[in-house]
Amino acid sequence: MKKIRVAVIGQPNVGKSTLFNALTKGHVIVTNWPGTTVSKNEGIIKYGNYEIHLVDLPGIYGLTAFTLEEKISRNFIVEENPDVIVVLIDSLTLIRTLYLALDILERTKRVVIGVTKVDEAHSRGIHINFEILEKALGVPVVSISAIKGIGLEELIKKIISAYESNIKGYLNIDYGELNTYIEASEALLRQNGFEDSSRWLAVKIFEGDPETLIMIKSKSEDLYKALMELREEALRILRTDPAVIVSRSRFKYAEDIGKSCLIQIAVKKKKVSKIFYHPVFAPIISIVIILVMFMAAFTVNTGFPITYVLKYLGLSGVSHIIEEYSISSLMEKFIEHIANILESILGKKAITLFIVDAVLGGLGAILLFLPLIMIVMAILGALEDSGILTRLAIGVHMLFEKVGFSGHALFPLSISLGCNVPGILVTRAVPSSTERVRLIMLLPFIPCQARLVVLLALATAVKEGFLVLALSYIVAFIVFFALGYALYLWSLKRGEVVEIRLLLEQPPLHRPIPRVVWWYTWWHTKHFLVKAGTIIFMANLLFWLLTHVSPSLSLIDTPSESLGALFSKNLTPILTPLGIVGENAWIIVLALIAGFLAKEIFITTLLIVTGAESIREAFITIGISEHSIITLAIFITLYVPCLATIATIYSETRSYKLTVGVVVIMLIVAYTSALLTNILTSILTR
Amino acid sequence: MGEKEGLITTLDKVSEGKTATLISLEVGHGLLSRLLNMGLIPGIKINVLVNRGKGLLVIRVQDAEISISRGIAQKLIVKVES
Repeated sequence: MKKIRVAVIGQPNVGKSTLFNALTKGHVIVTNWPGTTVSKNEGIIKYGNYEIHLVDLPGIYGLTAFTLEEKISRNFIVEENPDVIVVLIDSLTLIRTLYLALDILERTKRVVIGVTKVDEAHSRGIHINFEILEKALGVPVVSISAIKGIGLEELIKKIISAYESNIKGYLNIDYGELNTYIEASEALLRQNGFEDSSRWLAVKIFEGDPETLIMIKSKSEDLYKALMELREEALRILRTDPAVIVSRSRFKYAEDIGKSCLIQIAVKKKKVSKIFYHPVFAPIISIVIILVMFMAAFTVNTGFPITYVLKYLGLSGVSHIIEEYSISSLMEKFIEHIANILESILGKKAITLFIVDAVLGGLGAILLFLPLIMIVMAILGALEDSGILTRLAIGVHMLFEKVGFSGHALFPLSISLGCNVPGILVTRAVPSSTERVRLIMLLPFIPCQARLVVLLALATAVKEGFLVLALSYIVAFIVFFALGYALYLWSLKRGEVVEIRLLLEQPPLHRPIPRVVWWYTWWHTKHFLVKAGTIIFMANLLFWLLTHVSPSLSLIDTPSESLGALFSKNLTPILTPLGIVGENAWIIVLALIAGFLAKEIFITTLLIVTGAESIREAFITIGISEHSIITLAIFITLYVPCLATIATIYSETRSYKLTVGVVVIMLIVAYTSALLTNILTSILTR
Repeated sequence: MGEKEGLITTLDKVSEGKTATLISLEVGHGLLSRLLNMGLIPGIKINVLVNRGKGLLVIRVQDAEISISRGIAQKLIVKVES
């Protein structure tokens, strides 16, 4: 078996994810980017005697990075030197998307060009002569329609032949008046030991690529100075930023190729959907669509909020049915059923308890959230694939910019309503690094599906359950935006932020393609499974031991005498100001510690320790008043990110300070908000 | 708004429905290379699809529909065409 390492790269919206998924048919492994803990997708295809490893690179416009995500792509191509690079260009926007291909071809010719969406191109009157294109670029070109499965096998064959033929060389683009300067830099680079890709490096210097400049500076300060002098001279004499000359020449090259191989019969250009830009309607439409979509997802998942609406309308029968057949209720029943079977087979022994509570409990928690998160992601996937999501970002931008966020914050924010872990991961595509840090710090305040489940359980224990739920979400969003604005003002004061920017390409609107939506869903859910899943499972095991081991380290089945209980009893005074008092208040403390590991263990802990059948009963046993439950709901919504989220914050920022900072801020905010809630509810219920 | 043909102005002043030629980009380096890579190169024609005088603009450049915040548009120097 010969292993071929292939990078798949393309500009945003060229249909890269679609092709990647069609090629790998979902056989994708999640590994880390070299030198980071950032995960990447790798698909493996076996073909004849070859094992082809395809790496899915984030979309990028050119090999000069703007966002963190783009830096990953750029560095993979430049530093990892894959055996073959598949560059995708869009047949609908051939000339523009050819730009990236040229940038890569200037570095290496170990490239196969994939021209995507050829089926659609035909219907739009676009005809491409692939032979001419192949000749012009000097590398194999394959026409592809990922959705119809056209060209996939040919692409694989061309990858193999590109690998075997060991092509050398690169594409030479004419940079006109800048040529002499580029050649001089190239000579300088070669004299100083940069034989490989010296031409490409020289071009990148004139483009002002920060990564190239840093790399050269770190190797030789003198060389860097000499090159910078050349760049200055070019700027002085040509009176144009060399970066502009490079781009202009490269586009000219793409245009010339386009002229030779492209015939486009004039078809009506699609009209822009102006409604998404209307200063009044756009924000309203965006918010309404997002709300409706999430309400639908939540209802399928848990019954909330429709069930409450039905109850108010006096239709508690219907409401009960919806609740009963909501996914979370069905999953719970399923897990309970398995637990019963296991218990009947194994008998009521200590080991059974361990398997049922600790192992099955952990697996159950993951299993329970899997469909909940998938449904949220599927809805977002449909919005994304249809091109609506980036349009909603516009309306959202109009509102967000008033509080220091851009429309780019919409994606991480909505994904966080499913699970905070992928929510934090997608901040990589946010262009402003300060906005990204603000988002990473504050996204954990957004209630995920796990917190929704906890809040729903709490809601069953109070009369005005719906109000408690609504209040928790409202408080969470207020905190998110208020702190976001405060942090924004603070960055402004320190001179960090210049302005709230939005720069988004709007892909053509179309009906979502089910397969693509599924791929999107799976991609985001996978992060929950891999990262959160492992941590939830381990946390569940650990916590079970904590509540079943006595201070003298022997196994017991009375949690009230366990190590965890002892520890919690010492911490109970902290909750006194929140109105959570009494000799059983330690159970709440213990459950809150559990909730830190993974939010949903809060509920199971309450039930296990009190031995109660329902949450309502558990609270009665503990002796907590209704208004303290409301206080508790607010506290739980805000108090601390779960362990998986903390791990993600650290892996994304590599900063202990920031990670600890987030936990501290959340604890302070949660405590203050809970305290206020306690005071307010005491006054109101007096 | 810059209705007159041949007028040199910034992109945010070009009214809806008009076309302008990009002359230069007065932005910092990171944003410059992104805009260039997206096809906003001096000499290129920009169709202003939406411009309501405040807030975001929508432009068409080389067949791509791009939403752009006003702050960025204010830094793009253009010549009004028609």
